Amino acid sequence: MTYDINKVLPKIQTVSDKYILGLKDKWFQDTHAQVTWKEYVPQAQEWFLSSKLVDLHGTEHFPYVDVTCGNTQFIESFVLKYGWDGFQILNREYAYYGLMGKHGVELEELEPNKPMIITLPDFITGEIRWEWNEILRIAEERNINLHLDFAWTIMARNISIDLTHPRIQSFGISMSKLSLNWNRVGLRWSRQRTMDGITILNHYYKTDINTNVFSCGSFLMNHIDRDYGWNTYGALNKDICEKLNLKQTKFVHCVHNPKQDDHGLHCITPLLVKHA
Amino acid sequence: MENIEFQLKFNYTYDYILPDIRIYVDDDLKMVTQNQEHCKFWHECDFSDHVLRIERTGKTNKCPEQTVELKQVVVDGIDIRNILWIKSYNENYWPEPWATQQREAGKTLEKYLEAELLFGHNCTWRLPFTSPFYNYVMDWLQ
Repeated sequence: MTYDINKVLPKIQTVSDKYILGLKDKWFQDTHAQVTWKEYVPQAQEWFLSSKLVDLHGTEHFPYVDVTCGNTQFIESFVLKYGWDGFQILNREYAYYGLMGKHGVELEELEPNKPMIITLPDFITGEIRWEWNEILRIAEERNINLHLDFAWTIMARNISIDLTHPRIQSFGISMSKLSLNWNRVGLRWSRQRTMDGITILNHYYKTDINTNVFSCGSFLMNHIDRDYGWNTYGALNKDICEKLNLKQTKFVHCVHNPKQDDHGLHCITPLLVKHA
Repeated sequence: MENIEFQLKFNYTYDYILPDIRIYVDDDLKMVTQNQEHCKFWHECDFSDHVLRIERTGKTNKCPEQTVELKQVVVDGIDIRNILWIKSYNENYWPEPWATQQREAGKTLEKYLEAELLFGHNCTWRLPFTSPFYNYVMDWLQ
């Protein structure tokens, strides 16, 4: 098979394929059973943590599990708690912060006692940050609590993260990056539950909290394998990279192009969808 | 069990003798201070009933006027001003002979005053609460 290098794009697109689009049609055309918040939580917990490609070690240290409407809510609830100036991010973070004027700092500039949110894998290299061990050391030294945004682990492989480090306070995972932005659902795991938007939402509204959204999330989990991305497109990803001299990353839909100088991620979603 | 951060803010007035402040959670002495405006400490709470307690001492009949005002209490990142106004109470130690004079004049001196945050004389202030703290705040709202 030959692939068009011009379809390798600098703009990242999620993998919106026939199967995923078909599920959307099915959700809106068919009738479905209601899935309560109580039923959704254990199902989602099992589904998110069932990956054979992403190993999150030490999740038992995070006994408080709350429903979220995707990781954007995980971020926004965190920001609501600590204030726009009350948290920090590193350079080369998820664009969400920069779009609203929040800028990252280098490791040595991290302020003591100020919580930090980190996207893993990061969306510049497609890897766990090379300085991860250094981040943990500095967090320990400077008493910086870490909150991990694992949104992109849903499309990733070969990731193993030890969550037992005491400075890691919470992490969130969501289904959205499976091209399911039309129904954002996720979970947040906390070492110790504290007051914020998600806590309030889960406390007050859990009897009938977004039942439609979570019923749909449950439906999607019943029909999508947790490692859908790599299990479906792994071989094709490898073939594209070999034929076009691209370098694989942890993301099934993103690669590095050694011929480009930007060292950023490039998207092969159009090729994956076309040649599947 | 949860590890909670407590932040207390005081305002002091005195002539030349400082009031003494001792802060406890249950029976654990967390801080001793005389003129510190901002106090911060952590306490590990099991999921049960607890009391934040402030003992204010140092006022004697020979001591000129002094007051301590509890300006703010932030627990687990939450400014609990409204809870202080309803749930906290102060145990007063009325000074003699002033107290006797007041009683002889027919006035009743209350031993406990709710929501008293200005400590003019020696007293013990208390705020009962439960852990997990976020749950306590939400239950209070309901």
